[in-house]
Amino acid sequence: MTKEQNIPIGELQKLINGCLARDRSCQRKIYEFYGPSMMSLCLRYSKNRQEAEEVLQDGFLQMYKCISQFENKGSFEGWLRRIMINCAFQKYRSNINRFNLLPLTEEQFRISHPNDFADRLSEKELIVLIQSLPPSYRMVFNLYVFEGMKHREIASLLNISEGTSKSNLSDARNTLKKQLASNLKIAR
Amino acid sequence: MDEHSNNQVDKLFRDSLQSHRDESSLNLWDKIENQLDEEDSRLSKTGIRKRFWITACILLFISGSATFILFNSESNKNTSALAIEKKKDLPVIPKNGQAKQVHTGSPVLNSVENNKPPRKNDLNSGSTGSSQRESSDFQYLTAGTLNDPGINEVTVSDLHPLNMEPPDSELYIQTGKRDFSLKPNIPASLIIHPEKHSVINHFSVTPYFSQEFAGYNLSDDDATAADGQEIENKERNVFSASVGFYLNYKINKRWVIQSGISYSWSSSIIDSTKSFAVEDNSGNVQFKLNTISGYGYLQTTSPLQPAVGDSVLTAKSKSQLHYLTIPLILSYKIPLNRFSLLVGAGISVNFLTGASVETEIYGSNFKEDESTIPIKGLKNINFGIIIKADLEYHINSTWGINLIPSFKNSLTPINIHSALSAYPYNFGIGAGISYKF
Repeated sequence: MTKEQNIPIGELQKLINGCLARDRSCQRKIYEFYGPSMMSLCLRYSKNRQEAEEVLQDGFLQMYKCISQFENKGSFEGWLRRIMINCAFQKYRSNINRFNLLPLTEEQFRISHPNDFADRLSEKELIVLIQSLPPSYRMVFNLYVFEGMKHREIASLLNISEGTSKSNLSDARNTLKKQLASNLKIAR
Repeated sequence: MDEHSNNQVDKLFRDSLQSHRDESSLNLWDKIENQLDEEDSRLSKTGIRKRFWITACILLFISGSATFILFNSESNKNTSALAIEKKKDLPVIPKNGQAKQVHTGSPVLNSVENNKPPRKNDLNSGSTGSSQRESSDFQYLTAGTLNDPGINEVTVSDLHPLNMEPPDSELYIQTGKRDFSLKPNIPASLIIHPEKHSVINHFSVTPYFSQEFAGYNLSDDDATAADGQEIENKERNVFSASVGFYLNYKINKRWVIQSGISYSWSSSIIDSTKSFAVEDNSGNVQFKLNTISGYGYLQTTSPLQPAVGDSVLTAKSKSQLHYLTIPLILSYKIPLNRFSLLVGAGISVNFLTGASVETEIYGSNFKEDESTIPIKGLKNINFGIIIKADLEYHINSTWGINLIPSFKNSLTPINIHSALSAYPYNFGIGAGISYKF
């Protein structure tokens, strides 16, 4: 069940109209309602919480600026997600030439999360695992697994070949598998 | 096995995080709110500027129209105005010999107090200037100076108080009540004809050609559209020009209303770029080429239907826009000896007449034929402002040569549903000739 289903359509429309009129209270309500789920999305696409918050901030600002372009044809949350992904992509493109993060070492990961591994890793740990991926792996993994995009679409979006997309996804999975196994072992 | 393991990893992350929510920092909303305040302030300033320009244009239009109507009605009252061309003061003959001085601007019509009626033999027609005969001390008007440069307008209403009318035979001012053609013994050169209809006399036309330096003010406000900055960087204007004519209506000695029509065209070069296949409005998947002004769908010769996300590389492309423009300008005239300078501002309505991109598509190992595709996403009509000067050199009373620098800026974007909102502007230097009716 999406969050949007919890907002009556009339109420959502009122909030959107308020945003169109640049009513600050409506803008805040939209932020409070969709902020947490969008924050989760941004965390997955970013290397850390700070960057995720930057993306979230940019995304909401873009949304308020362009809300007149929302045509009520589809889900508002879906539209907002697209904006967030677009902002994350912009951030990825601006960063991609500046650095290429290596995955966290096993030791780093263990130190930053010493206690809370159970049989299953918590959601936060899973996010940290994704964040530990190199940016290009992380981007492909997110787009493939969470957005359901095909390799062809990912390749065109990221301006890479389909083969590179597949290779990045495979490497991302292998890295995650290793991290999962390693951390579960540590937890036990 | 490996596939299964991959799917499990995907499923683990998807199921765990699909409905995950996380709180952001408490002060993040404050940061967003601060940025929204800044944005509101900026929009407010932009809104004020827009309102200022719109109000200024409306006021200009209203004041121009009002002035036109006011002076036109005054002008119609004086449709039988007389143009007496003379550098020197012109003496006139009063019917009853009672001379008065008629003020008509800098030069004046002079007459001398004289109670004696004019005598036929004292009319020395054809001579220039004034003279005062010893035998009679009235002065007279000559018709030999009609083509002298320098215009001094005297209207019938100015002359009526003098109770002036031509004397019996030789002369002289045709007032409309008296038809001198019925008196063939009066040489035509001795008759001062009334001015033709004054409205006609106020018109002139200026055909011109203008070379322009064009550019775009861009606003990238669509978060979900293609990257506007990238499009902007890839495109540059290379040529812009317009040809047309101004129709000038002289309201009075200082103010002129200008309208007319012009045809303008501009070309831009778009660097080689990658175009991606997208679904168009009718559900077909086509390669979309973005330009500053709009977008076009590329025509490929490949029999295969592209899939969303496929891409092709286009060679350097050339986009062209064509517009018909109708301006309405209120100008102020500054006379400078043989020159005159018109300085004015106004609004224009621009009608799109054509928009296309010439491009070539590179396949994997080949270069396909060049094709010209229409640009979509353009408005058919947009509005703009014009600020212009018009320096005219008067060759004679009918012809002139004009140098016309101008600045044009669009008030409304020329496109809709594009990655960028484009507001074209240009600085132009035009040259033309003017003809006064």
